Amino acid sequence: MDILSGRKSLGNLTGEMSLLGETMSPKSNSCQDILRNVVAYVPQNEQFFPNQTPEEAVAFAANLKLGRDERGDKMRKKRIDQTLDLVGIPYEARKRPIGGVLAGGMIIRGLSGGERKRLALACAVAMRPSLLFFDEITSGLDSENAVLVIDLIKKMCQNMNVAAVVVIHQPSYEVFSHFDRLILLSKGKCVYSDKLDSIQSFYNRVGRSMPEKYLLPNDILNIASNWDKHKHEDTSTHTNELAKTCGVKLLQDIKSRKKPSTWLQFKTVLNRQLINHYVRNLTNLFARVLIFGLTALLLGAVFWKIAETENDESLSFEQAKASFGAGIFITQVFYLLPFAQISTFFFDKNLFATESSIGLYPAWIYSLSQILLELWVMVLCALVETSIAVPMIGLWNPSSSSKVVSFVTMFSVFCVSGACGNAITMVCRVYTLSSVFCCLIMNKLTSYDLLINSIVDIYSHVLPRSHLLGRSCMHSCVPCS
Amino acid sequence: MPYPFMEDWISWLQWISPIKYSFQGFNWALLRGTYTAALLEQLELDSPASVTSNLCILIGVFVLCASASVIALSKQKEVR
Repeated sequence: MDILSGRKSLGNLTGEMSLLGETMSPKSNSCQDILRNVVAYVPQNEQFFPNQTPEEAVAFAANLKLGRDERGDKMRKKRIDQTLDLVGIPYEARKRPIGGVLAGGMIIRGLSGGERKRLALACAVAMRPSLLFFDEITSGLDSENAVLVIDLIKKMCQNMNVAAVVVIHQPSYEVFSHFDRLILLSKGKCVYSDKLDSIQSFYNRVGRSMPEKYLLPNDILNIASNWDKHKHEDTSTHTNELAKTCGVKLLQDIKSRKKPSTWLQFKTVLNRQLINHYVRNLTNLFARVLIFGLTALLLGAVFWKIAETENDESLSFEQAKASFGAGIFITQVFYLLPFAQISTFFFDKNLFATESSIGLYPAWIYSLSQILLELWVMVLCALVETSIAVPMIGLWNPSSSSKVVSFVTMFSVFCVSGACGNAITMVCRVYTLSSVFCCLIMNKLTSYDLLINSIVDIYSHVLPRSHLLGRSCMHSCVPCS
Repeated sequence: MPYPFMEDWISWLQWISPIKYSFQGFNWALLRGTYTAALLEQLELDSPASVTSNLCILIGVFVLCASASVIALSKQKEVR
């Protein structure tokens, strides 16, 4: 499903895929572009910023995929409300945070599991797709909510004339009965692909009697799990029902859809990161500034007035040597403390992987916005560090025309050093080596989970992914009627 | 360890360390225009020998690292 939805284009991909009769290689850029324009993917574990509101989440997805509504803000707001109405997010919950765990462990209460799934659905619908892919949309939901979500998907498919492909592993009969078509997979092979009404023919073929309808989903899964390819001939049928269902609309969509401008994408991502990471997460911002402040106080106390000179001409050689020590500590602070931001980067990584894989925005937009935002945080931290450490240690250049000039010069050095430290952290993070480095440097070897996670991350890029193949699963297709 | 006392085989590392330029920038900001600045030359903390030059190198390192992270992230397409 990752390949079909255009989320995966790397690795040992072979074969071809056909879209509206046009054969394409799933690795080609043109195929990726087309798929990303017409497909919306809802992952099993939906990812949102805990501080973001449902309204903002829907607007974010719509802005990045379709651009701003040219008919104005009122119409835009109306469209967002309509989308949220469609999935049944309560009005009072729309302006409250979605909830979840912030980077650092702080928990924010928000939407329930079912509401989060429906919000993920709303975000997908806001992109106006022609094909919807759902990966285990009912996982983690109770039976009532699972039926509610599937019922919602079916109604949306019918009303909006889109097709939905739902991957599901253990459906209840109530969920199962909503599907129109069934694609049954076993060990990577298709063993049944037809309308659900024709399932009797499948049982005839395998020589078993069809059970009571309530036992049907489990029985089908049992057959798929124990499928012997040598015993049964390849019974897969290849139909073009899906293309018939949404074919015309797909073609229209591909031809008429305009991409939003890069500037709008950049503004949208920057704004989202700014509001959620800094403006609404003041504890994080305050903690970072506080750490810099406390470090400056500590260094100030250790090197108290060592560079203070009585004559206005120069420091003595002894004072200069002592101030070198202070300088080493202060400059190291600007290279080491940015590593404390590693948990934010790990938090972002999941969100970024989900969003970039469905083509919401290019990777460089995320990187650039994060670099710029971190830059101003470092300016703030450098200001605090300079304001505390410089007067306490007495780091004034005796030959400067005024203390202000001396202060500004020292601030510039600290500021640029902090920016450099931050950029180095960013590079380390990209290669997922940062947490190992961080654990070693910051002497946090007790945070084994972070260490193990990063090692797993590193090796997951190297090891083959064959273990992902060969699972039995049921792909159910809900075309509009 | 001051640079003049470092072994030749390892001392080249100073040139690729941004901390060197931050440290030099700090020292020149503190001592420029004073007679104690001679100490910086003795300790080989004078390449380059001004705050502005050190800042320019640091800005260059920042741009390089920022570009590297943008390019590396752009190349990361795998989703799981």
